[in-house]
Amino acid sequence: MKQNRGLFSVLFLAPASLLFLLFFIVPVFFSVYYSMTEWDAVSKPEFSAFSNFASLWRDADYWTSMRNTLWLVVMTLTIKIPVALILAYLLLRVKRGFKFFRTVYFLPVVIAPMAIGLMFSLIYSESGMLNQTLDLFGLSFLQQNWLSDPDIVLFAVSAPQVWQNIGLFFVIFLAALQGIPNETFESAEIDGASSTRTFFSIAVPMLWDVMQVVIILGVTGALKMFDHAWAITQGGPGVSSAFASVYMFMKGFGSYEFGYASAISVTIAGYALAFTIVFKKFFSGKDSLEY
Amino acid sequence: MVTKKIQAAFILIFAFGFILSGCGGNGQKNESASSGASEGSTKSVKIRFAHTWGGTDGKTGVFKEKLEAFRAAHPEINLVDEFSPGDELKTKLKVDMASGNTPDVFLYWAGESYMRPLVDGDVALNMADYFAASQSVKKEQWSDGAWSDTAIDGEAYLIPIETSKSFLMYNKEIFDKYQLQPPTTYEEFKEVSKKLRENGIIPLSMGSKGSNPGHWFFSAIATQFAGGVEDGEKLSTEYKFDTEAFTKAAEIISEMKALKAFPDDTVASGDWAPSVVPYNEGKAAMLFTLPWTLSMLNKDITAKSELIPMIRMDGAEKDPATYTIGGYTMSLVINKKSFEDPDKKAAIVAFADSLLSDEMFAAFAGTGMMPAKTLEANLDTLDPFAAKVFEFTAPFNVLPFTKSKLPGAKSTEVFNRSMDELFAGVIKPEQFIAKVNEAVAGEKP
Amino acid sequence: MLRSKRTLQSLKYVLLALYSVTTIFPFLWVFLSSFKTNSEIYSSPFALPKTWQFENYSKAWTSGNIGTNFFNSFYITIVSVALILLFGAMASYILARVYPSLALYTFFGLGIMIPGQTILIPTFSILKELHLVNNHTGLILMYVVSSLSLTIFVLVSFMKTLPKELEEAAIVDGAGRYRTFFSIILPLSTPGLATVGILAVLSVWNEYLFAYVLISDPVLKTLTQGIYGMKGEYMTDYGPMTAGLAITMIPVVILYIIFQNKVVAGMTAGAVKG
Repeated sequence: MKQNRGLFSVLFLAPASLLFLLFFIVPVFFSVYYSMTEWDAVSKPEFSAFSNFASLWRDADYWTSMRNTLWLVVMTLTIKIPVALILAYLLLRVKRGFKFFRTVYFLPVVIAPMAIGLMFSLIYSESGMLNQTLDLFGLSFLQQNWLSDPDIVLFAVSAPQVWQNIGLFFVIFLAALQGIPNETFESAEIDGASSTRTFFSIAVPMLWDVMQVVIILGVTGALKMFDHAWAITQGGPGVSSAFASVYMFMKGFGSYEFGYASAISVTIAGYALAFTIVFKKFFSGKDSLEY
Repeated sequence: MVTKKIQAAFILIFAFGFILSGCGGNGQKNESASSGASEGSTKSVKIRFAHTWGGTDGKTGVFKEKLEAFRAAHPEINLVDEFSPGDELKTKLKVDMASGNTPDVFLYWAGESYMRPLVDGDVALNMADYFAASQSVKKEQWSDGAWSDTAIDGEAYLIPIETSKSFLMYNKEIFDKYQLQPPTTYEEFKEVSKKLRENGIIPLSMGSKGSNPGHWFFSAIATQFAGGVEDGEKLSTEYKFDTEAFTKAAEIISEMKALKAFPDDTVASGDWAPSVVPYNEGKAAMLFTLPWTLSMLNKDITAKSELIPMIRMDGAEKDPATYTIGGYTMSLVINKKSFEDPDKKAAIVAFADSLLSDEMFAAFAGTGMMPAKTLEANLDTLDPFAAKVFEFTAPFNVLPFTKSKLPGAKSTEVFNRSMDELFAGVIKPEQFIAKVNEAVAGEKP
Repeated sequence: MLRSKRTLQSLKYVLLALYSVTTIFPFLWVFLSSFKTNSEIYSSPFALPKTWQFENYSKAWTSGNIGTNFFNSFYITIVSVALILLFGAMASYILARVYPSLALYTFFGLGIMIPGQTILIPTFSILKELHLVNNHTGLILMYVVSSLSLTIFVLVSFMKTLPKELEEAAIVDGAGRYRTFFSIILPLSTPGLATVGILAVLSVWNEYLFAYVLISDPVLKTLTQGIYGMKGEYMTDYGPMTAGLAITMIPVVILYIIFQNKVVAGMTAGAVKG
């Protein structure tokens, strides 16, 4: 019986484990190896130790793309999370139209980021929908060169991602808020607390666990961000709107420097791992892997 | 009860999944289905042709017709045509080549930076072998210039199909309205631009995304200065971009940008179709473009349009009224490995013969393409404005665009990105020159 | 007091309504534009089309190849999700109920912590060696692998909550472990499977980067590649392009509206677990 159990376990674990090992773990090690080579994907990789990382260190474009990624993280913390939380809190005890609003807010989340990106690239064109809308409302002074002004293009390519993520975070917060018993809010109100105070003194603290998840999702999401920027500007002009993975793609499949691109992706993985572990260690007593 | 329901739902999901996975290899099956004429498995030779003549490209209809005719005439050949729009073809072929899945025959861009890897990687057939095998297509049917301009190491690895000549046009109605004369010199251009801007008109519809169409305009300026043409030629031997002509051209573009001669958002108005839009809508007074946008131009607008030579820069050595930037772009490349496969050779020759026939070129010319092959183009069937462009540019010499002379993929990538930055006003001309120069120098073997 | 409460209430609705405009408006605009000519899209973006250009849709479907792309995506999604659910459930069952192993759990956990882009380049070269580039099997393989970790995490915690008695009774009855798994555990796990299934459907259907790198043959391309391809450089015809966008969006939106409770539950569970 015992032996049977062992064999059975192995058989059942085998497909998932083998696939995961061969097509995820092994490639991760390959990535580390390639990052230490010069390689154009056609000829053989040539070992070059840490020279790619040394060049990365001096590569201003790499740091621009990292700064852009960091900006996305900042947007996550200052815009996405607060807006999503406020929307969820506002909607929580609305009776009429609850389902409508929930449906509509979440709508952007289900659509392919590539499609959203292309939609926004049309919206941002010089006489496109956005500038025309601003015109219509007498806000022409707000019209911008959305895609060629390096200070604005970053905002322009982040906006669709922020927009999609707000929907996702909103639904998570809403579900969490619905999990808080109604009496908690009601008793606070009887005590005369305003809804702003209930928000800060009850909702926010009780959501802390969920908040952690959302923060990790937001940060790792920022490190993965590719489709929107690729569809709208391909990272341009220059690298003004390139995020980490867009820059990696430019270097790999754009100019065939696969070793260098691998070095970039290794650093991305490093940042993601480091962030998750450190964040978990500091903000929750739980095992760093259980989230 | 509930369990039953759940069970049923579950079984359904899985049954569905397994039925579909049961017909696995669907992907492969699709392939033959798409070849259009897929009657059974009697076809002995499969030939893959990768091209850009599909979707909304002007040549699509004509090409499809000719393709069907070829399939009907050669039932023994299973011709699979793989369409990718515009620059997407470059990515497709890069991936195909890297994965050892190169098509047998494909379209590619003429120019050192594009063709060099294909020649070094032993992908492209030396066309002398094709001419030796072909009954109907002869090297002499192209001008000597066509061969010398597209040769790599003095050999022909491609056969030019499309050629191009840039041209500058203006909207006469707008110029008349503000009582302006079309500019011939840079001074006049600046004056006209100022007046147009005062009236809310974009002077010149021009932008840069992935360097298009901006880099053509850059070449049209740089080549006017002493050494401009030679500097381009020497890019792949001397690896130097910080020359006087290139620097001057970058400075002029930067100055034009500051004078608001271009649309404000040069990235959004970059790339071929968006670059034509402001002119099409009557929001821009001038347009510098290439023949492949002809089919995108509004008929009402072209009726009001006139052609002029490129603007003459201060200190120009070459008169822009005598030449134009252009050259051979889309060309035919044959996969060397496939050609050496005795099973495929005859089919490849037959297909190439049909693609390179006079009838095919004439049909393409009818859609507005400038044929690279020497033939008596019948301009009667052409759109009147396209005919006008052909006539206007006919006497001009053709000089190659600078980008085609870059030494490799890495510097081309940097050049493209930096060109966008230059037009967007993100970097100064000297930064542009320095960036590209560094990338070009980095290609030195 | 009451009055201020009412003003607050209406203020709340105004805010909620305003935000809903930002989420609906772009989709409406795409939908309207898909029936317009190129110049109408630029000159009068908000007006109703002068004449409804239905041919934009037929153009997108046929010449833009969206039809082929659509069926490719459909096939890839079905097969990938079926495999994700089967393999994920098998492994989760062992980890949750037969042989709990922290080491294995951590092993699969790496898939959540390391971004997928890290393996893009090696995947390309490995699949190239296996002749699985330009092949749906290769792409399906990658989709299965990249969804496994999250699937296992959600399913393990779900299966841990199932009552032990049923399973034990089955074993006492002499049912083998295989039968116990297929006839008891799997049916009981349906809510969990639905959750991860929906997550997997969305991520596979909407994926772009791996498809872009692994598939270059036009007849094998997926829907996200198809719409990106419509942005073809030389000609950008916004009418068919917005029609193409509408074609990609409409099925997902309809599915979402039908299954929205499940989708929302799935996303929430997935997010909270992952």
